[in-house]
Formats: sequence, C-alpha cells, structure tokens
Amino acid sequence: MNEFDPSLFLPIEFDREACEQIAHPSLSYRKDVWRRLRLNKSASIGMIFLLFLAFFAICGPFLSNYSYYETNLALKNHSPSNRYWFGTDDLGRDVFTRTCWGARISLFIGVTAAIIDLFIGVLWGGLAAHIGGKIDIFLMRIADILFALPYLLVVIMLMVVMGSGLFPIIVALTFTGWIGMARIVRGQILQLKEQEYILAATALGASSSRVLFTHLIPNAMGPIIVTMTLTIPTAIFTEAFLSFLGLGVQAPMASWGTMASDGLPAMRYYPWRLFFPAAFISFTMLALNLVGDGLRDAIDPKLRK
Amino acid sequence: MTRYILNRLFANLIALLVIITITFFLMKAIPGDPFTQEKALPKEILDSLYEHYKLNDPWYTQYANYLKSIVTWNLGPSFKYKSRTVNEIIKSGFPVSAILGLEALAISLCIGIAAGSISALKQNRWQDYGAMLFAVIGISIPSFILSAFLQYIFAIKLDLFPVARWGSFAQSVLPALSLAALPTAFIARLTRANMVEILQLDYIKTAKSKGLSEQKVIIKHGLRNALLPVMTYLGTLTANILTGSFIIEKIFGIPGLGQWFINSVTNRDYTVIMGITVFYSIILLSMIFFVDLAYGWIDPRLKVGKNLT
Amino acid sequence: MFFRLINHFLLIALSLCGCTNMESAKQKKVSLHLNIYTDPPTLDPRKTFDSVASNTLLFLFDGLTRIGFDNHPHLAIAKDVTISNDQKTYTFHLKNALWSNGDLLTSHDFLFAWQSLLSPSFDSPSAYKLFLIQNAKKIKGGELPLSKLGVEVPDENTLIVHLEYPAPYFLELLSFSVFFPINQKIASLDPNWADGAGPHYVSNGPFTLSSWEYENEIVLKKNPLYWDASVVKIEKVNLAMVGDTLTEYYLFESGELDFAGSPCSNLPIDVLPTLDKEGKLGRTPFSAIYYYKFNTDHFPLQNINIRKGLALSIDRGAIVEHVMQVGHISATSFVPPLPNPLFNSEKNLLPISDNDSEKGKKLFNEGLKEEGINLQGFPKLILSFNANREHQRVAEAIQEQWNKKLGIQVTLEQFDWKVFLNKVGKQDYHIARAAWLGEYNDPMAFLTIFKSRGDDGLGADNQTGWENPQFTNLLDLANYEKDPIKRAAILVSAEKILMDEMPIIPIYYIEGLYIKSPRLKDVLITSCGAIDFKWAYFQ
Repeated sequence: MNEFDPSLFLPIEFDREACEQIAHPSLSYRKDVWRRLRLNKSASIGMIFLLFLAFFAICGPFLSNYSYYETNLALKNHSPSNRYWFGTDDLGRDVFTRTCWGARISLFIGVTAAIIDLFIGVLWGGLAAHIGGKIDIFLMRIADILFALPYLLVVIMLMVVMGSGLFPIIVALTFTGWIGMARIVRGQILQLKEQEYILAATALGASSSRVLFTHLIPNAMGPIIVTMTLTIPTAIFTEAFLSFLGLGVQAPMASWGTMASDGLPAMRYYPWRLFFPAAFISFTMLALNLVGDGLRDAIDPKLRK
Repeated sequence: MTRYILNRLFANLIALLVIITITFFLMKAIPGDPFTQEKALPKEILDSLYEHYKLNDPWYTQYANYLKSIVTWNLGPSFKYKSRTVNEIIKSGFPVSAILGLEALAISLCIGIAAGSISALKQNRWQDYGAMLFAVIGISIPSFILSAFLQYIFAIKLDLFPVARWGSFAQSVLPALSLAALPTAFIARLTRANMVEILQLDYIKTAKSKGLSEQKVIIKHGLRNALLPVMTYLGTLTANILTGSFIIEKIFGIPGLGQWFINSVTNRDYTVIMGITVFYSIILLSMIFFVDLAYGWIDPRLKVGKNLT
Repeated sequence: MFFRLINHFLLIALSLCGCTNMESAKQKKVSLHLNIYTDPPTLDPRKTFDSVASNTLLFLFDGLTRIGFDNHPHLAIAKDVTISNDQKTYTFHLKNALWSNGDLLTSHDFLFAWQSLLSPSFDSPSAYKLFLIQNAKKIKGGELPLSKLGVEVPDENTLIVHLEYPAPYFLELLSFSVFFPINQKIASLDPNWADGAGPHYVSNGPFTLSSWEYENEIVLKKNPLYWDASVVKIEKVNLAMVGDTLTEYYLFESGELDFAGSPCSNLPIDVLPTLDKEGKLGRTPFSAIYYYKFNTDHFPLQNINIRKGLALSIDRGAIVEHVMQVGHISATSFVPPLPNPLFNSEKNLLPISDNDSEKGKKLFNEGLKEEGINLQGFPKLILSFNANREHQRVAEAIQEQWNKKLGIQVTLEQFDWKVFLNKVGKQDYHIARAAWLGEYNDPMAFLTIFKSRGDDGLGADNQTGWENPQFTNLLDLANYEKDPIKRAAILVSAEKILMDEMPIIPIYYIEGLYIKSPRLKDVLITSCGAIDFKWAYFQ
C-alpha cells in the first residue's frame, strides 16, 4: 500500500450556511409537472398541434365562405382547388368547412367522453381495489353487468328516451366507456397497494383517501394515461358506428368519423373525402398521445429526472 | 381461497341473472317487434304470428320461459330465421368468430408485447419512436377504414389475398390483421408504459449489475410485472374478440357471431338476442374471473382472495 | 404437421393465383356465382316475406304462372286456364310435372300448400296475398275451417279457384312464392322439411337445393326432372351472402361473382358514374317509387296548398342527376310507368311542371295566408327517415332546396329501422321518407294504399291520415269494371284526385342498377323486383 502524504489533503470547511442552502427552487407539485412537461420536446410538439387544432375548430368556419350545410349539387365531388381548399363532397358541400365543424364535434365528443370516463373509471376502480373484499366484488360485478348488456339495445333505448343531440350521444358513449379504465386502474392499484411506501404512509397515519389519491393513483398514472389516449378515438369511432345505425349526430352536421365512413366507398375516385377527416383524426391522436406520454412522464414521481 | 372462488361464482351467477333480466325488459321496451315491416301486415296475420310465437302471453310467462330455455340451454327458434334455432346459430357462428379471434389475439400479443418491450428498452431512440408511431396509427384508424383499406390495397390492387369470404387460411389474413390492429397498438403502449417505469427501479439495476444479460433481465424481471395491465385488458379483449366483430365480419363476408348479434337487435329477434347475450356474458364473466385469479400468479405480492381488514 | 404445412402453402398459393373458382375461357361456363346479400330467413315458400327468400325460391320452384321477359305472366305448371265470365272463377289444368324426387305433381299439392298457410296458427306473413280467394281472410282469422277455402280439386290435374272479387292481376299474383305448391306427402310427414338441404327438401323448379351453409353459401344444382329442363343452361349456382355492397362489387371485379347489384342488393353510388361511363352498367325499370309522406293531421300540413308548395319546390331532376348520380327517373305522379301501356296515358299528373319555383312558392304562400302564419313563424317541421346514406343524402339535398326556394328550414332526424317503422305506423312524424314496390303491375297496387285512413284496420300502409271518399269509391268501381280500358280510365281519375290533394311527395321512380359478366345472357329482372335465371346462359 502506498503512503499518501497528508499534505495532499485539505479539510473542507464546515460551512453551516452552505448546508442550509437550497440548491433547487421550491416547486409546488403542479409547477413541477408543468415544468417537466414543457421540457419534453415531443410533448411540446403535440401541444402546439393541439393549439392549432383548437384554432382550426373555433375559427376555421369563419375563414371560409361556405357553410357546412350549403349544397351545390352541380359542383359535387370536385377535387381540392383554390375555391374549395379541401374539395367538395358528394352534395357539393365544402369539405374544409365541414372538417372544421367535424373538429368541433369530434373533439367535443372525444374529450368530454374521455374526461367523464376518466373520473368515473378512476374512482370506481380505485375504490374497488382500495377497499377490497365484498365491495370490490360488488362494484366490479356492476361493471361486468353494464359491459355485458347488448350495447346496441341500450343505445337504441337511450335514443328513444332522450332523442337526438349531443347529450344523448355523450351518455351513450360514456355508458360503458369508463369500464375499461376502471378495470385497469383496479389492476394497477391492487399491485401497488402491496408496496412498502404504502405501508409506510399508512403507518404514518395517512387517511385512507389520502393514500388513495396522493399515493396510489398518481403512481398508476402510466396505464391511466395510455388508456385515456385510447378512449378518445374509441369515442369518436363509436359515434361514427352509431351514426351508421342512425344514432349519431344528426344530418347535415357531421363528425370526422361520419365524414370518414362516408368517404370510404369513394376512396378510389374522390380520395380527398376520406383523406382529410382521416388525416385529422390520426394527427390529433398522435398529438394527444405525445402530450399524454409527456404528461405521464411529468406526473409520475418515479420518473422524475 | 376456496371461499373467494365460491363468492365469486355466486356473484357471477347473480350478475348473469341481472343481465338476462335487464336485457329482457330492454328488448320488450324498445319500439318495434320482429314483425314490424315496411308493408304493414294485416291484423289477422299479426294475430296469427303473435299466437304462434307466444308473444301474447303475459310478460312474466315470457320471462319465465326465457329463463327456462337458458337453464336447459335450449334457446328456442329464431323469430326471423324460421328454419333454425338459436343453438344452431351459436354453434355455426361461434367457431368462425373464435378462429378469427384467436388469430388476431396471437398477432396482438406477440407483436404488441414485443414492440412495447423493445420500445421501453430503447426509450427515446428511433425504435421507440417508430414503434409508437405505428401504435398510434393502429389506434387512430377505425377498424372499418382499416379493413376497407387493407382490402383495397392487398386484395384488389396487389391481388395478394382473397377479397372476402371464409374458408381458407388466406381468407383469414386480412380480417385478422384488421381485427388485431387496435389491440396490438394498445398492448404495445401498455407494455411500454409499465416497462419504462419498472426498468428504472432498483431491482432491475441490481439484476444488471449482477451481470445478467439484457434479455434475461427483461423477460424474467421486467416483463412479468409490467404485464398486469395487459392481462386486465386481455380479459375483456378475449371475450369480445372471440364473439366476433360486426364490422370486420360484414366487410369481409365472414359468417361469424358478430353479425348475428347486431342484426338480431336491428331485427328485434328476441330469442337470438337473449341467447347470444347469455352466451357472451358467460364467456365474459369467466374470462374476468380467470384474469383476477391470474393476478395472484403474475405478481405474488398481490393477495388475491384474501380479505383485508 | 408437415402435411398440414404443405396444405397451408397450397391453399395460399391457390388463393394467390385466384384460381379456386374460375374455369378456363375455352371451357363452356355453366356455373353461376351470385351474391344474395343476406341469408334467406326461410326456404319454405309458405313462410316467405322478403325478396331474398323469394328470389332464391324462384330458382327452386315453379308456380302456376311465371313472369316472362315481357313482364307478363306466362303459364308454367298450368297447361291452360279458363276464366269465367264474371272473372271470379279460374279453372287450371296442370301439365304433367314431377317433383325433384320423382313424385308426381298434382293439384292436391297446391291445395295443401294454400290451406296449410291459411291455418290461423301457421307462421305466414304473406298469407294476406291469398285473401282475394274466397273465404281465405275468414279462415286465417279463425272464423271458418280450412275446408271452406274457395279452391276445388276435382281431379289430380285440375285446380279451380274462386275469387272474392274480380282481379285482372290474379295470374300475375300466382307467380309469387306464396302460391307455390308443396309436396304434400313429404310435408305432412315432416313439418320441418324446409329447414335445410336434406333429402326432404323437395322442389319442382329449374334447380334443386344441394347445400345450405348458414350465413355463408347456398349451392343449387340443375334439376333434371324439371318439366322445362331443356331451356335451363346453367348447371350449378353458388349463392354467397356477403352483406357489404362495396365488398360485393370488389368480388365482382375480381371475378368471383358473375353479377352484382340490384335487385338482390345495391351498387355503391360512388362507383356508378365510372361504370356508366365505361358502359358496363345495366339498368332495368322497376314498378317502384321513392317518395315522402305527409302527416296530414299535423299542423300546417293539413293545408293542401302548403303541401303542394312543398312538393313542387323540389328539383327532382337535380336529385336524380346529382344525388343518385346514375339511373332513376324524376317522378311526375305517384304510380310509376308500368309494363302495360294501357296504364301509362296521361302520366304527367303533377298539377304543375316540376321545379317551377315561382308556382311552388306561390302556392306555399297562399297556404301560409290561409293558415294565418308567416314565414318567420313557420312551425318547425321534422323530416324523418331510417338511417341509410342514400336517404340521408336525398334528405339533405331537399332540406337545402326548401331552404333556398321557400326560405324554411326543416330539421332532419334519422332513426333505427324498426323505431322508424313504428313511429310512422303510429303517425308520429311530420314528413317521412317512404318507398313502395308494386306487388303486381297494376295501378291498383299503388292506389290501394290510400283506400282508407287506416283506423278501421284496412289502410295500414296509408299512415298519412289522408282519405277521400270519392277516391275510395273510384277504387271500388275499378274492382268491378270488366272492360280494361274503362278500368284504366277510372284508375287515372282516382290518381288525379291523389295528385290534386298531394298527401305525398313523389320524388323518383326507382330503377335497378347492376353489373354482370359480359358472357352472361338472358337474365330476367322483372319490374316487381324479382330476378330469374331460368333462361340465363354463358356465351
């Protein structure tokens, strides 16, 4: 072993003040999340696209000279041109304006359905898993029953009772939409609640709800956000499927889903009728997924960098 | 554990009963019956039809008859398809849907889990972005558009596969791919989400520092814990996919159960609605039950079936 | 395991070259591939109601008469027919015909079929078509026994039918599946004889039922014992059941189908212009009309001028040309052009020429004045239809036309099929989409809809709440008028009343649009929507 010359080492001054210095600015949970989200490049791209989309949906109709219902039969099925930026559909209506209106409807339906599904699903699954035992069995069987009912039957009944319009559609979509989320949340929490930090929190005297909302749910955020980014397109497509059967948004109003399914048989001859609504759906989903991923990375305490 | 299983079975039976009851009343309550037609039928004809199909009996008699038919699994004749019974319909339609469903499941599980794991391992590199891009596309294109698209490109333009119908393996490829698109994407994303978290955890670092190969780390340690949400999803996915997708079966002309179910509601074919609902519910409740039991196997920390005080 | 792999590869290879079904061009093609869209609910002729079943049964059975290429009934199983002076008794002598299992076909088989389906507990939705036979209606209602049916069978080859009232279209009615004979021996033995393609499925038509895979395929083979087998050139028929119009068109394109489109299903509208331009599209007229019904009990639709104003402000030409794109004819009256030229005189019965916005608006405003409302206060009207893309497009176009020409905005509502039928049946609508295919080629088939309001259980298809005693009288008069020319004139005057009061809006006469393999010839599509391949052959 080598001998080290003691003079090579200098003692560090014990600076009491330096010990107390806070190297990292104090951030509330929210500010922390926002900061992490902003720094995430792909999430930022997603957010910018969503802002553009919001602008498109809100201001788009004012940019064009046409309304979404004005027909011009002689000008049907024209390809995109200076006059009709996205071309015309089979009744001579402007596809651009209709896509803007479609954005309003699809986004409204999608986001509302997703938020409702999120709240009901997380609460339901969280409670079932957290309380456990007979309550768990009871709550989940109710979920199973709702899921197993013939959906079409339920929807027809809803429409007969409530008529047409956006509210009945949202009810029809959220009737069973939350169940997938509830199951996934329940699964996650069942797994998480055996972790040591939960035991620690309980031992420290945290109330049951505090454990659930502050510890369990945020740590389950990963699958929750992934599921939520599935809920939105599912809501949009279910609405398109329902309108196949007369139960969606009423004509002449159209959602992206309806426009896409109308444009489908014309795919070979007038592709723009399918392309624009489908492209918008895909890009919106991409943006939502990027933001969702970024959000999950930002919220989950374990992924803090 | 036994007590838990018994409790669950009992709860499932009650759930089944509730499903049957609600379906029965919903069915009777919505406007239209099996004989509502555009050319209105004269009164004598309607009366004779109602008599023949016992629709004039009081509701509790009809309800009791349905319960009896379900218990004896003799589900009655179809109202619209006069030469066959519901049992025959299920027997002919289910195997078709099930085979297609199993193909799609196999694709979703293999590709989904593989893609998700690779993404998680190569987080934020091109493999991750590429795989997740495909996943987003899988989620954001509705099945009816994807089916029509695949049909047009691969069957019409490129003439690689048959356009439609059922019977040969080649005829099942395009429908299976269309059916598998969404589940693959979702499974990939679920797997990735959980894997990313788990790969950060200390015990993974421990395993790596112990010198275990990357593959072994993933499979033995990472994957098993990450798969729980996939298992959850798998429960309902299996039940749904085995009983058929209406859209895919319609577009590809496949004689499966999915078309039957939707058409029976549109036709108000009461016996078929009840029969298929019960059949589907039994499969669904059982799958969910298995998944719950499987939780305990996948993650030994999960105390399945133990009461928490 | 190895063999299974080889098997898989072979299947893939076969389907790759698409040669599973094709015959080489040099060989004479004798098998027909057709898509009937859905599975027939039944193949028992007595129980049929929809066109899928009746078209399939046209392959399998032959009745007393069969519709020919001139859209008129020709004698089939019947060798000759004598009609009494009062036109209420028809005496038929039958040909020597056999069942597909060799049994002799007798008049007892006809009597048995008709009696059994008129039994009150028998599931026969189409039984009403027999109600013009003496006592049939009462028998179905349970008031008389089966033996009282106005049909006599003096011997095995003679059939005598007594009618309640004269019906010049009776011979045409007899070509429908509900009048087909049933093998009495087999059917008495086995009531479930028609439940599948078993040995008990015995028929008397150009083809026999070889196999029936539910929801998948029906295979038919030429019937060598058919009385007219010498004219049947096709040996085998495959009926597919693909329920998607675009897929059906793709199957035709890839050569797996020899025929696609009407009347078994439809061609997607968007492919029509290209097909038309390429000269591949076939068009065939139907005795059918697409129209809207007014609920004449709903304010302000009880006012005739408002109804006429609405009806005349529609640009039918634009709808036919742009919305439907190919085919169909703008309607000028309610009864479409019929094969018998006798009925087609004075066809332009719309009071004023179509698309005359000035006159339409004038009538509409007169109506407003009469009701004491102005344009701003015009009540909200709902245009209802069942969920379907074509109906939606027509409705959207008409909604806009009314908006531009009259300044009113109607609301569109679509419904599930049976919910829609239920609502219209209860007169719970304002304006509703409708269509009518004549059961036989006679104006009576169309005008009889409006014979009464419907409260007395007679005019169940009316659903508009409109009736006119003069109109009803003319129809009764026509029933007993023996001179065909006078009868036609009576029916035209009845139609005039209908058009003057406009309880409905005629929109377009429906045509059948189809494509078929160029080698396929002599396919008969009747104006009542039946398709007959008895005489069809491949060149």
